[in-house]
Amino acid sequence: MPQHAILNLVGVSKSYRDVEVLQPTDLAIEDGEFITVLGPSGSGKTTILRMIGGFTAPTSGQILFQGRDIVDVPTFQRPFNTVFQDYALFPHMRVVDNVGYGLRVRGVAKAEIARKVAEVLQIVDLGDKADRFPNALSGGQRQRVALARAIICEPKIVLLDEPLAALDAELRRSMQDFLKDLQRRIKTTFIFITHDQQEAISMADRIVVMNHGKIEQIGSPREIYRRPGSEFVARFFGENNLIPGIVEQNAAGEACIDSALGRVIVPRDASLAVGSKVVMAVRPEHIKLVPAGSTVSQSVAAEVRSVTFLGATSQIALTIAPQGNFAIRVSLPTNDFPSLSVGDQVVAAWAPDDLTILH
Amino acid sequence: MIRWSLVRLAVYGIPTLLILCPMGLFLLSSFWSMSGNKMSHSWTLANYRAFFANASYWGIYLQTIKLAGIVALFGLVSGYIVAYLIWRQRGPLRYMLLLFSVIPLAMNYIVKIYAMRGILGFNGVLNSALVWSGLLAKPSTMFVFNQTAVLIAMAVIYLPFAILPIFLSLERIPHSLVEASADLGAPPGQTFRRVVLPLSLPGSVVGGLFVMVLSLGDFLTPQMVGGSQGFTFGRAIWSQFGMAFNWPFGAALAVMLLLAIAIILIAARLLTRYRRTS
Amino acid sequence: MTRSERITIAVLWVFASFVFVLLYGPAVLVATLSFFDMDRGQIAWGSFSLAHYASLLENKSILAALGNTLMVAFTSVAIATILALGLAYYMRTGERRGRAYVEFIIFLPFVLPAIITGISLLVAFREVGVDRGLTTIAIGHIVVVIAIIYRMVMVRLEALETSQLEASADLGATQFQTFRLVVVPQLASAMVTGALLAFTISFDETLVTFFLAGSDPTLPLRLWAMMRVGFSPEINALVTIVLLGTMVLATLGALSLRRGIAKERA
Repeated sequence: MPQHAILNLVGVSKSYRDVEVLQPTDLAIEDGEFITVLGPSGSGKTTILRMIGGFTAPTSGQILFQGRDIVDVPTFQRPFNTVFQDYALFPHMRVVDNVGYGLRVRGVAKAEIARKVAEVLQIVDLGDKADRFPNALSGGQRQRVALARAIICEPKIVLLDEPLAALDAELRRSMQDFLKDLQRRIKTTFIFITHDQQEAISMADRIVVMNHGKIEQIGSPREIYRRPGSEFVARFFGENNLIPGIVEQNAAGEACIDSALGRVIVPRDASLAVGSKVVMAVRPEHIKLVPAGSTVSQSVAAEVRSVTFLGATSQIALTIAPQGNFAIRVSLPTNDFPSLSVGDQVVAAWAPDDLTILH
Repeated sequence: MIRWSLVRLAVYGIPTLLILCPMGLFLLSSFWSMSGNKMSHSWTLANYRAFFANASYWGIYLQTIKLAGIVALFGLVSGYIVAYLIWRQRGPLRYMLLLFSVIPLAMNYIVKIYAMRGILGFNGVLNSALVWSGLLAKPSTMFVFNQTAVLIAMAVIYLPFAILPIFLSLERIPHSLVEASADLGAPPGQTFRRVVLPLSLPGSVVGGLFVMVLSLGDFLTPQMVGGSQGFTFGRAIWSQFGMAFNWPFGAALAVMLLLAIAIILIAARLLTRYRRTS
Repeated sequence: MTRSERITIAVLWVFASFVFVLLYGPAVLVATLSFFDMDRGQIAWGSFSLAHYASLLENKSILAALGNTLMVAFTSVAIATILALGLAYYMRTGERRGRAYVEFIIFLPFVLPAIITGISLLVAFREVGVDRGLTTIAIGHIVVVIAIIYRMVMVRLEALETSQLEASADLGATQFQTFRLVVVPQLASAMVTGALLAFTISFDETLVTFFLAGSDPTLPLRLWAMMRVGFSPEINALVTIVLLGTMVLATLGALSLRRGIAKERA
């Protein structure tokens, strides 16, 4: 385990009666990183957050904060603060009282509270809304009050439970930038829960992908995008063409797989047993179209089934000629194919490196 | 942890001690008997036997149930009319009318009986009005110190208890349902008959039953406006705790009252459930 | 509206007006009579005065009964409010298996006729050897009003998101701080409404009180005793005052309930 991990989950699991919502899970979170836990609803991501925050006790396992198990430490004594999905602002308190609440319950002097609240409200750009009540604020403003309230006590970790889910697309985008920027400025660990992969990619240093109560893959956004570790990740994380195949041979620096795209070459991988079934993933934007008749080593003849204009890019659905019923999608910059129409014969090509074998 | 078990003890103990224990004792005491002027804790069914053996108690029992039923029916019908009219209103008038129909709930019960007595007496306002208008030649004794007087007084006193629950059950009907019915071509009368009434009826019946339970247990109204003719089961129970001073027998009579209420409530429950499944 | 519908509604309104006359007529009558003398069963219209009100102030037994009533109402409402608040908060903050049990019990006196509650408490007090008096009346009133306050508080508590309690703990507040700073302020209006309603009920409570009173009567019992003797303008004056008082209380309660709802929607 890395020395600089601030928080370690060791074999943490959670069951309600007979239902295991989180299988025994290990996760090391490093100091100062922006980590995103990504998964569909019911994947166990919120459970992890609630156990770190102390709102739910794990069924088994340890939660180590700076090496010390905090499972039995009650919520109000943990040095973490949470931004709730519904913000959970106290409706009977003004913005200043909401933000100053954490200091007030710790018995900090009034003048000190006032000073810090003003400072934090400055950071979230709400200095002029201090005397408002929460119900007089817009969604984005409430969001920032919740954020200010969570960072004022200088927590070691900020937990964010899908805080942007209720905002409209434009506001979301700007809040994403704001959060990322804020995290860099206050140099605090952020654990951010979301079900939106776009959000995860744009904000996280590392992404934890979860499904069915277990971690599917952990890695940087680039790693996860380029090398999805499982079929679930490949499907959930952006678009992918999934291609089934059988390993024909695996030697001499490369493996050869008989698939719906014909015979394809991938870098040699010791774990690929000859004769075993595999699924490969290739992203629509990694497939190129070359004129019919050209011979490229990794390519297959195909017919255009449909062309969908999406703005800067267009999506083209192809059927692979020999199989006739196997379809793949290709994403191309719109300007690159002025004359493509349904029924055209084309050749789809890719680089061996863009194929990922899913285990 | 001791603190928490104390909290738990208080949370479950206080209601049990204040409410359940006394009610349990009351049920038990209906199987006791009187010896001298003390209750003796020996078990006996004599109280119940006395009730079933005495036809006059039976008679009053059934008569009181009938009386309460009529009061409840009056409360249901007129309460529904008032509640429906209020429900149809929008804006401040609606709130005002609602307030006006709720305020009588807060009027002192004894005061209401007293006022009803002033109206129903031989020289009361009702008789004076009837004579003055020429409907009667001389004051009538039809509603003076008898069952009719009790019926009228109870109907007026307990009516407000029906209006509020009926209004609330109307209020629970989403307005979109009424609009949908109109949109599908139903004239207002049909919408009322096919949508509003069926949806509000179960809640309204509950309001009526509430009135019935209240009038079944009442012993002061009959005593004040009923005279010797207007004897009811509530009075019979009460007299066991007053002049007759036979508490165990009074408790047994009260258990019979409870039984009637239980049967009525269960019947209503079955009825409303049947409506929902059919 | 079609013509037939308009006629139906008009007829219903006539009936409803009759109902309102029934509801208020008696009270108006009594209030009117309180200002006049009676002369052989007829109102002496020329005798308008406040004399009956003045003579009320001289009547020691009525004032004593009023004092008893207020004392019982204040104590029982205060205790019932605290109990109901504690019960509701306990039931709301966690999976409480006993919740259905407790709610069933405290709603019993609300659903069953008062005579049953009265007899039960009477028998119980007799068995433990407690003499009847203002204390037993106050306990009876606690039993009668606790459900209504509990209901009011619970409705508000259920509307309070669990995340608020979690946020408070998350920000470092102890359970007691959360209760004091987050829960109680948001329950204030519900508690005031519940307490006002409970006070009105306690002030008027007669049927249970009848079984539990000792030698000190409450106002309704005193009224009852006076009325058995016969009509008197003095009773009318007293009744008018009581009516006004309870109506003011009820209106206050209704207004506070309405404000609570308006706040909820904002």
